[in-house]
Amino acid sequence: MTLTGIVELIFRWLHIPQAWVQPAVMLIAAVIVLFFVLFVVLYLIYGLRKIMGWIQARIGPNRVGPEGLAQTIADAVKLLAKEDIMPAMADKWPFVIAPIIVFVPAYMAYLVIPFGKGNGWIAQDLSIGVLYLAAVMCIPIIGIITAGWASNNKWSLLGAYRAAAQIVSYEVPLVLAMMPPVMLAGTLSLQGIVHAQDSTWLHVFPRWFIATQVVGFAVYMAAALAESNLIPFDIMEAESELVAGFNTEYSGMKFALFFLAEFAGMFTISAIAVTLFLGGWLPIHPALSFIPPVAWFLGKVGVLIFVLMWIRATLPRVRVDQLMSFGWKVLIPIALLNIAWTGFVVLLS
Amino acid sequence: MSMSVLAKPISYVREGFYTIYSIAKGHIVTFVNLFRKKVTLQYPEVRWELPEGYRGFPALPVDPETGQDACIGCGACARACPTQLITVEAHMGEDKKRIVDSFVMNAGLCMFCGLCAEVCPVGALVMSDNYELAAFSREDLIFDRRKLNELGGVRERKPEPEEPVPAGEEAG
Repeated sequence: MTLTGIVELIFRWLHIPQAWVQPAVMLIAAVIVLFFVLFVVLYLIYGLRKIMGWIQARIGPNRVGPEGLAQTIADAVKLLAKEDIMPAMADKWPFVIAPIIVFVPAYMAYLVIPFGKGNGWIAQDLSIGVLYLAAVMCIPIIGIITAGWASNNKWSLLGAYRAAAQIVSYEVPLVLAMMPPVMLAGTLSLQGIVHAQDSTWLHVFPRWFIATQVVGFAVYMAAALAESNLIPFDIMEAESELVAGFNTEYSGMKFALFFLAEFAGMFTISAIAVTLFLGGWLPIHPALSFIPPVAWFLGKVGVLIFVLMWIRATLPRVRVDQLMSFGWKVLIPIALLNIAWTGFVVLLS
Repeated sequence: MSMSVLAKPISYVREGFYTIYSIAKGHIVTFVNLFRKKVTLQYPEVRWELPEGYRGFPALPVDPETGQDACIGCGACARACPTQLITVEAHMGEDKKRIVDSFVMNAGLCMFCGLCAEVCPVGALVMSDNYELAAFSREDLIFDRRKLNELGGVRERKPEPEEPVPAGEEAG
């Protein structure tokens, strides 16, 4: 029974006009996705703290709840209960709106992520899914600049300037790296891209796009790290130079929204990488298809998120000029060459 | 001529590969560390095993037979203390032996240097292994003789040092 069916049944029972069913279903789906995002973010933070702790020969959070599993819930409650401080000289409305502008696109990206087979596991299989993702991933920068400007603080403004330079530069290689899978699949729909990877070589090796796109995958991951300002590309929040960058003046609920957006973005970039390069919800071999597709998808995303955390625990922060020259002089030429190579692959097949 | 033209691109490529190599090497190091034994001690439940010769707060251990410490009130510790946190008051008894009236130490000033224990001629003052000295007031940090006895616990009997017998006595 689908969600629409259940809502229809309840509305008929309550004598509510059928015209309200569609909006109600949308609202319920949005709330489900929102709770999924919150759950994912809470346990990503927990996982990050545990993994970083282990790498540093520490134990990590282990006091609140069994094995510290309730630690991040307690942190979130504390954050929500905190006083919401606004600097006296801050520009009021932009200051309030900025965290929302940053969080909403991070949440919107979940709309097109295919969690499993069929339409039940994707909120809306847009026929321009990849384009939609590229567009949505550009929006947070507006919120970041707004936050930096509205705080009326030199560190915030410097962080926002850096963010503007960084995100605008890395947008280009990111989108260029997302193109090859689209070329190979011949569609912009994310479910279509997953289906295009559904075959094997010699009945053994999975025919995922990473097979010909190792370079594309690497460029995508580097650009995505920079795009969602994770270490080693977090110069906009460089705490040793800029206090905390654009969110220096934020506290309580508004800070929580920035934090939420960062970790939601971490899940999103991993999910996109899995969909475009690692076969989405497809099993490694057709013989393993008894495991549900959603488990395959979340498993692959989990592995990729572990890699992101591993990178975070290993690499130091790059310098501003290194960051810019890496984006323009290394990633973009490689991404362009990769597109040419993909054209060659498409031509041969 | 052609070599000098190619020199720069070749060095770029070499640098690129070296970068990838060093990043991979760093990741191997952190991955190995992921499975290392954790060094964190869950402090109140698990305690550190103190090494021999650890210097905690100085204390006056009690002899189990007499129920008293061995202090003779000479005041050598008070003179040796760099921060002068020890005050010893004593008077001469009838049998020409000093009787200790009070022995007070202020733990708030102690730097755990161990000079007092070192100069003590009878070995009455020793460095205990107590490092949990936090208190809610400064008054609680002032330790009198009774408290120092408690802190020191029971003195373990050391084997008597074997003194070489003077040769002349043996002959006589």
